[in-house]
Amino acid sequence: MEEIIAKLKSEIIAQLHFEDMSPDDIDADAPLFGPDGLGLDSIDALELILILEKNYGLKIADMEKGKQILASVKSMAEYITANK
Amino acid sequence: MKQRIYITGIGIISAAGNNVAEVLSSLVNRRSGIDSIRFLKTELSAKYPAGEVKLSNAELAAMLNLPAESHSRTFLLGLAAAREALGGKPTANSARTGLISATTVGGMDLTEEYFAALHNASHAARAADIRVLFSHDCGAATEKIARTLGLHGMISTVSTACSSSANAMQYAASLIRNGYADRMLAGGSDALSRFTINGFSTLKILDEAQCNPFDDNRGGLNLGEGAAYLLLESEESASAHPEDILSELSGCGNACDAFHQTAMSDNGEGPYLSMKYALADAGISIDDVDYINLHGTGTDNNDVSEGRAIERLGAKTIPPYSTTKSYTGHTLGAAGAIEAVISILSIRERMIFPNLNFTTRMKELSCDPVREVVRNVDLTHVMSNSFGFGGNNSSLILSKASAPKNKSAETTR
Amino acid sequence: MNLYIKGLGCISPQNTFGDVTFMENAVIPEGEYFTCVEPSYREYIDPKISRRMSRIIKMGIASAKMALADGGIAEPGAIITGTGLGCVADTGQFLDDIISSNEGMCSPTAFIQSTHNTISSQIAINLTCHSYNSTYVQRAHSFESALLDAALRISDGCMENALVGGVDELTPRLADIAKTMGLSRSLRDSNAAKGFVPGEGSVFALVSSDASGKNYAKIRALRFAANVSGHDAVRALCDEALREAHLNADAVDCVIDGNSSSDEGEFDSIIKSGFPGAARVSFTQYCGEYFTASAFGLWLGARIVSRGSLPSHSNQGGRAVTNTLIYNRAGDSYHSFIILSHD
Repeated sequence: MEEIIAKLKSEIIAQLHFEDMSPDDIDADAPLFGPDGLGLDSIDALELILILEKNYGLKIADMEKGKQILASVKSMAEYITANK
Repeated sequence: MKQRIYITGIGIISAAGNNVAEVLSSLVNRRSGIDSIRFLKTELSAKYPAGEVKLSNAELAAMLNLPAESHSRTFLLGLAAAREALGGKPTANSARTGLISATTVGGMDLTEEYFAALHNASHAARAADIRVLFSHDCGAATEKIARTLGLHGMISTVSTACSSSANAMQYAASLIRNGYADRMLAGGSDALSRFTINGFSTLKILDEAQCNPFDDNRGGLNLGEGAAYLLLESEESASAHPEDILSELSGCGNACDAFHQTAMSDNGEGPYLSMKYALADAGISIDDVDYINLHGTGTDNNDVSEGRAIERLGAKTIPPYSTTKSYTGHTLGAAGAIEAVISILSIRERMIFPNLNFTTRMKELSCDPVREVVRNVDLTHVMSNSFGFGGNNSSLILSKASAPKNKSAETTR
Repeated sequence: MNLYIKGLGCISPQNTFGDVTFMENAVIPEGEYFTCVEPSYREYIDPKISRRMSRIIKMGIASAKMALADGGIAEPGAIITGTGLGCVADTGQFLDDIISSNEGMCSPTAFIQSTHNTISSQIAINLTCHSYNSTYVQRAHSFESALLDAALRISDGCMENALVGGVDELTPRLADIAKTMGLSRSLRDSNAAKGFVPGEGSVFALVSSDASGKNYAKIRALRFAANVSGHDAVRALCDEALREAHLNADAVDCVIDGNSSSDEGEFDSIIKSGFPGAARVSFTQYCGEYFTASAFGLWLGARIVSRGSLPSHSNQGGRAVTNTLIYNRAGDSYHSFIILSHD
């Protein structure tokens, strides 16, 4: 799980262009969306879905379920682990 | 007093028909042009239906008497519609007739073939000729259409996503009013391309079935392609042949939502202001509008924002409205002009064309769109909306020519 | 035409923002073509938002905000941009994605930023500006179209002022394509017959009908046509501009020119025969050639008129200038004339 979290953090930094950030700057439990977290928007959500599809072969068919999966780095990692 | 701008010619080509008569027939007979993709070579053709024009590039070139060489489909569609709009009208004094076109994709259909050929030997070998890139930019087709039609007046091209050709009409009207031209062909053209279909697919806003816009259970948009042009003319120039006058462009509005690159604000601020400005420009109120041709793409976001914005206008009774994108698909840069032509057909034929595939009212709204063809209705003012990515929102008011400006304050002439 | 340039923002291959040293010292680039000197974008755009913006969008937003700050206005009455090729880097990126994944999984960010109106839109989003917003894409007249649209709407009373820009970027791939198409040459190659030297830039002007306060210059005329050729026809277009400006040819002190056509002779003869006594400075030697380079020409003209003399490094430096004509020619048939005055 820790390995997946670390990998996800690097992928998020790369795909979402957080060039000035390092993986240590991202709290795995913090919300990704909204003002308290990284402040991601709807386009970033699509990029996260792309990471799951491209790098882990996982599709999100239901957008409502998708919101829960994408809530934090930890929830994404849990989804990946559960669907390996 | 603001000089009137008359429309004395219209031309259109779309999935719903290859000219005005064919499009009208489809509209009246509830015949959607959205179908499986036949001509565009794409891995997504089985997944998404689209409003593709029912002619191949070779057939278009033959119809237009063009030599067999590599033409961008955007140019071919544009020339077809522009030629129809110009009709047989003489282009003597062509220095005072110009062209303001619009497009989002330009010559990308040729460009993407070229780069694919460089990368992958299985695509057409002819695409390896780098000279096709001369057709890539948005202004290339405009230049070529003007040259082919012998138009020597001012030319330009607008690219503001889905509101492009509505803005082209606004600029053309401004040029005529300020004496830069007597007549302007204004409109736009966009062809289907792998670039666009993949782009919209990544945004997850394409419907895998035929779209049902303004419906509570809508599933996204169907892409379309096509072109339309309107011949805008000054009062003085049009007065020489009043029998050709179809309509008046009596108002234009343009406002930026300024919220997000792809999502419209929840309360539809940009669309609301765009409509408000168009009404003010025409000197009328929402209560004077007899029909609204919606932008109505079928996406969750557009339809609720547009619907809310209309309700915010404070009409005593909300005018009947419908989107005709279920006939043509979303034709992107050409949409504003295509729907302006359809609005003029509504006025001319005294009809309102329905919002196809509608069953369930959106929970956020207080009324349904028009569901059946309505006949024998006098339309004095029609509002046509075009709301684009980047918050570029535009609205046009097309009116019966020389109608009184305000019903409630009508005076004898 | 009576339009006042109240503010300017310029990101170019020269030192044209912040401490603008260009009028005293010109930069000669070291590479094969012209690329922009860029500011730190943090000053203009929140890093959380700029992270996914490509260069051209950052350049556009920054130079637009420079012009607004320079003109002392927070929210313009319109935002109108001209761009010949739009967001080239994003377009190329998305094309690559489609091809390499065989229309599989592509990044949405590159697509949504590839549309030509992204520059105008992102400026509006940054300012939360709901005003009139448009983008023109007619090759070498993209900027001129934007400027004319602004001028006509201001003169019609739709608004008092407008932010008008000309923006185009040069990527390594684009430079390579121009070379392969036989259009361009390297900066290191002095043989002009081989083509133009590619460049890039983002210039915004805040224009207004309000004559009061500080102005760089008054725009007295703007005439352009994309289908004109031959000495007489071009001369006629130039004369239209002079008539619009209510000026005789001999009142023009300086001609600022740009030419990317291969016909140096005809271009030259228009200027020499029309304005024999005027000083002359070419602007493309500073910014290179690109579809909206005439916006840099306008910036240079406004700076010259405002200070009343040419740049110190031009071979006619120090000569007094009141009225200047900016003449840009692209290809055989795109010609534009802009006349600026001190008043």
